Amino acid sequence: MTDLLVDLLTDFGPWLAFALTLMVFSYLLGDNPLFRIAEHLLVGLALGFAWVVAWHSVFLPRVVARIGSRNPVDVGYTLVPLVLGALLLLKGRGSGLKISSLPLAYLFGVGAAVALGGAIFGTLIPQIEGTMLSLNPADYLADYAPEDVWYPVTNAIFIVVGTVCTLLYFAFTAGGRSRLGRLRGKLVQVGAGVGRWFLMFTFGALFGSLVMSRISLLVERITFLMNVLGF
Amino acid sequence: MIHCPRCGAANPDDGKLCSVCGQPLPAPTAGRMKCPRCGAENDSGAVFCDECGARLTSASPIPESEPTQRVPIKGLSLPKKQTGGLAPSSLPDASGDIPEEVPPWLQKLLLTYGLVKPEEEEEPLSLQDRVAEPGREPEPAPLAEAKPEDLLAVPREPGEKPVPVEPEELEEPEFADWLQALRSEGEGWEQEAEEAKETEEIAPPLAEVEVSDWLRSLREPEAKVAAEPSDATGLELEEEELPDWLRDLGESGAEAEEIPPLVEELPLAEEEELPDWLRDLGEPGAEAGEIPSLVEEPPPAEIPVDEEELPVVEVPPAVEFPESPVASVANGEELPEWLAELRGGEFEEETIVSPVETTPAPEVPTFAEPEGEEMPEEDEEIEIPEWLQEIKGMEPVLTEDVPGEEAAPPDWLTQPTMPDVTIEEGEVRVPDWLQGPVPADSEVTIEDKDTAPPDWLQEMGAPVLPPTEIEEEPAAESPSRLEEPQPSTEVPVGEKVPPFTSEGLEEFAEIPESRAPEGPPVLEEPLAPPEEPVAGAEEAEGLARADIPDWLLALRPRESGEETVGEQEIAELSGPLAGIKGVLSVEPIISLPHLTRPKAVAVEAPPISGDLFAEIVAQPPVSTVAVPRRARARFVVGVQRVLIYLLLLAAVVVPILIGPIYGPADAKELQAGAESFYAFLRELPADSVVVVAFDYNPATAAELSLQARAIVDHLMRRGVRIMAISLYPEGAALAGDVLYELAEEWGYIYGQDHIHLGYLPNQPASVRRFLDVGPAGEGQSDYRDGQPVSQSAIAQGVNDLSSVSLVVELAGDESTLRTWVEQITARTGVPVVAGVSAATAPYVQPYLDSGQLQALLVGLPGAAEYEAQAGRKGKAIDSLGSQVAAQAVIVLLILLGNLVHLVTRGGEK
Repeated sequence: MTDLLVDLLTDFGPWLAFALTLMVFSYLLGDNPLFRIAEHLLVGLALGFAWVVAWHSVFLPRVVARIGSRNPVDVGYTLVPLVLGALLLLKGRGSGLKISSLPLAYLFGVGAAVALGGAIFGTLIPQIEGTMLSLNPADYLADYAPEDVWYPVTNAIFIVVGTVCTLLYFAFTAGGRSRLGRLRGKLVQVGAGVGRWFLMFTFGALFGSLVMSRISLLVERITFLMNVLGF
Repeated sequence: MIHCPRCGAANPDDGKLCSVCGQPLPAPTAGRMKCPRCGAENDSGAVFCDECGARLTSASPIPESEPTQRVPIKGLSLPKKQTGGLAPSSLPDASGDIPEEVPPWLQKLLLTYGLVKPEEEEEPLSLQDRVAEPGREPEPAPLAEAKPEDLLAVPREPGEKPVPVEPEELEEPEFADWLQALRSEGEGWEQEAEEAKETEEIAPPLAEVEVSDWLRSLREPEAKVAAEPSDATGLELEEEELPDWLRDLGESGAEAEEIPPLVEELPLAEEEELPDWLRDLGEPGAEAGEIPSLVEEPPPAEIPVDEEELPVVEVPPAVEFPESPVASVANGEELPEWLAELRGGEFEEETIVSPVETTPAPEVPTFAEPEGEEMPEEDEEIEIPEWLQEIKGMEPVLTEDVPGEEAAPPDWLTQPTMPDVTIEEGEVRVPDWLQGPVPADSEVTIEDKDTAPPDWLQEMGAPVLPPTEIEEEPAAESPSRLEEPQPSTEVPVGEKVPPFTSEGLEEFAEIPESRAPEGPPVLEEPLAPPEEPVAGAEEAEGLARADIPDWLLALRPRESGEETVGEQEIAELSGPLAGIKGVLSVEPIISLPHLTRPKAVAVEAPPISGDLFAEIVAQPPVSTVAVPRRARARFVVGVQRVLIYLLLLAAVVVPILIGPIYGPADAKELQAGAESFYAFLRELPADSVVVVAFDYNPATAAELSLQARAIVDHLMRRGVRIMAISLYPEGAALAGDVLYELAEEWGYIYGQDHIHLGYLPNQPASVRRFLDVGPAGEGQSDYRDGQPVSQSAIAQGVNDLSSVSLVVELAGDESTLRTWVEQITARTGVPVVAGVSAATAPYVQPYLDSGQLQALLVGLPGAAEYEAQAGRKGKAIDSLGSQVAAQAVIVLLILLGNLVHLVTRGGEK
């Protein structure tokens, strides 16, 4: 039975994928049932596949296997998160039990702590350090040839200026009425203008990258279809 | 001693002008006094004329028997009421009910004026204040000095009983500070007046009156006009103070040497300013019956009351004197109902009592009273002001044929306008004041019955009048009133009520001159002596050019072109318009029924609507196949969209069909992009453990699968042990596809050379734990067999992440990469290289720049570059041609779209 199914999927699987791909492409002509069917299939299969993966990768080895080991320590360590997970299910029913918030509190607390630590020490500080670039070409002579020093220097200028000006663009506070305040306001205004252009280039790059990514997907799908068709 | 014929003040025998009012004094005739009315000479001490009974001196004080009926006069309030421009002056006209016979438009006017007070009211107030002020300093004016102001001040209806009102209470708030100051100075004047009445001084000690210099200076010019008392009076009204229209009235009146009140009121002399219907009033043929309407037109009709002399005023029953233009009604005189009503309506609040009513007219010999007219106070003496008598006596022509019983117009009224006018018997007498515009020398005989005054006027006395010759009224009568306040002016009972305008103006002018010490400049101006005394009958002195107020013009009830009916040929006989044809006379317009609005003329419309409609309906319907624009546009858009799809499809398919655009030679050019990445993997020692994270799903598998394939292929070629893991459930499956395929190709043994760790929940905590416990940590099982990783051979010696040489992150989105980078950067120093989707590259680039990423591959081009670098031509290089072509098409479409947008200006064309 299993072999038969595997053989069927092996033989007709590409055609099934071909048909589903065309059904998804049919959305180019407008919303239609074929697209909806393919969409629903995708969602259902993705969810089912995720459940299977979670069962095999998480529940079996980390819950069932540990409880089946009959080791009190392992069982104890397993039941606590299991109970917390069961309480989490109560949230789905809108239960007003405060105890159901316990797993969420634990998740958010631990998750925030871990994420915050990672964000600070993995993104914020390193990124700030990354913008503290030297604009002195001599500092790059070790890594670059003298004729190529302009590249890291120019890159450093762009990074520094782009970062500062982009941050100034989101500075919504104006300068005061004092002389210094007016000067500050002027600087912020100019910097924000430059930062606006950096943002525009960034958005353009994002858009171009997204287009490039989707074109790659199109190419892959068309290549698949052509392969199925024998090209 | 010569008593002023006007105010009754005593003057020295050698005086030429009254020291109080400036009235020209009659020449002393050796102890004889000339009757101002009939001209008969009487003894200087005589009070009444032997011939006509006219009072030779000022009115006698109020009889003591009536003090109980007196009502305190609001001295200060009087001026206010007289302020109504024309109306205030002519008190007699203004009072009383509107007769039913009055045309509707006239009634409307009357009502309007009674209800609405024009703006000019304030001016008279100031003047009145002056009057009140000076009245205190000099001795209280005798009853004979009853002025038109007094009449005006009576704000009661005919049958209404006088209600005592404290003058101060009512007046205080209405006066300006300076006026109040003046008033304060003169406080006690009422008491003085009372005392004077008690003493019954017929002739108040006018000589003792202290006239301020400025007043005297104003008087001087009047001396020039001594010959014409009317002029003298009119001069006193300053041009500035008096409205233009009043001046014109004065001018017109001057022509006739006697300004009839109506004439004065109506700026007959005005060319442009006077409406035609007003001009008609000045025509010789004007009927007396219509005059009252004109008189009523002025907004506030007030009966001036001499506050000083007559603090208590009793309103007599309605007595109509349509013909009498006398400004001030003598004691006991009854005002017409309509006049009284006007008075009452306008000044209900004011308790000023007119001296006329309180003091019965002692003598009315010369003033004929209408027969059968209800004159409850008829018996009372009607005092003719001395100044009137004086003037009358001075008149060259005086016809006193009027029988005493008949309600003839007062002499002083008739004379000024129509000195020679004789009214035949049986004819309706035209009020003198209506005949004002007629030149003095012109004789006008009213024969036309049609011009008879309306019934309501006749009821008031006009119809009863037998044909009588209109006595010439002293020319100074009405004009003088306008010009100067005449404290001694009294209108005897039965006397014709003079038009409101002239009298009121007189009061205004008189009061300040005689009493007011020094008022504000505005008030003083009018008192300035007339620049040019009336010379002849051309202009009335002191009467300003009439400027018909807007409200008056607005009320003008006539049709367009009506004024030209029959009047074009009539030449103006007096005033500045003398000799000009086309000036409308008073009579026709007034007598004609007024049509407030032109009759609507029904014009038969052409019968086209029905036919046209039927014709249009009969037309066959035009079939208009309206193409839905939206559908067509949608079709066009759909076509364009399909074209784009086809173009992109062609761009993708054609490179695939024609083969890869990149050959082996071209691959070298791609090597540069993945050089660092390839170099990093090339440096890895053999048998080292590399964790490859397949953190992508089918959405980005087209790019990352090619990268993963190229990288894993390179690693397996190098003999590096590979531990696969994924933060996506789908990624685990995709990882298995690549891993198992290449492992089979390179002969890698599962669990020994490579292992699939499976799915790791996409949470920082799980990654953190993975890094803490290591790939072979507790509870970690493989993806394919589900066996504990720790039991696999590859996990031997890999207790934690420190044993891992490299982490290769294949990220479909930035979140997974950030999670790996952050946790690894924060906890360990394991190098990380990443292959990301093109869409994620901008977010990952900073980590590459910061050094947190050792190398980076981006999208399909990155995979192609790595393949080229590795020297293994794979699907990435094969697909790169389609990628480049499709991107080129996209760029071209974007440029084309922008170009079209620019050309068509955003789709407008």
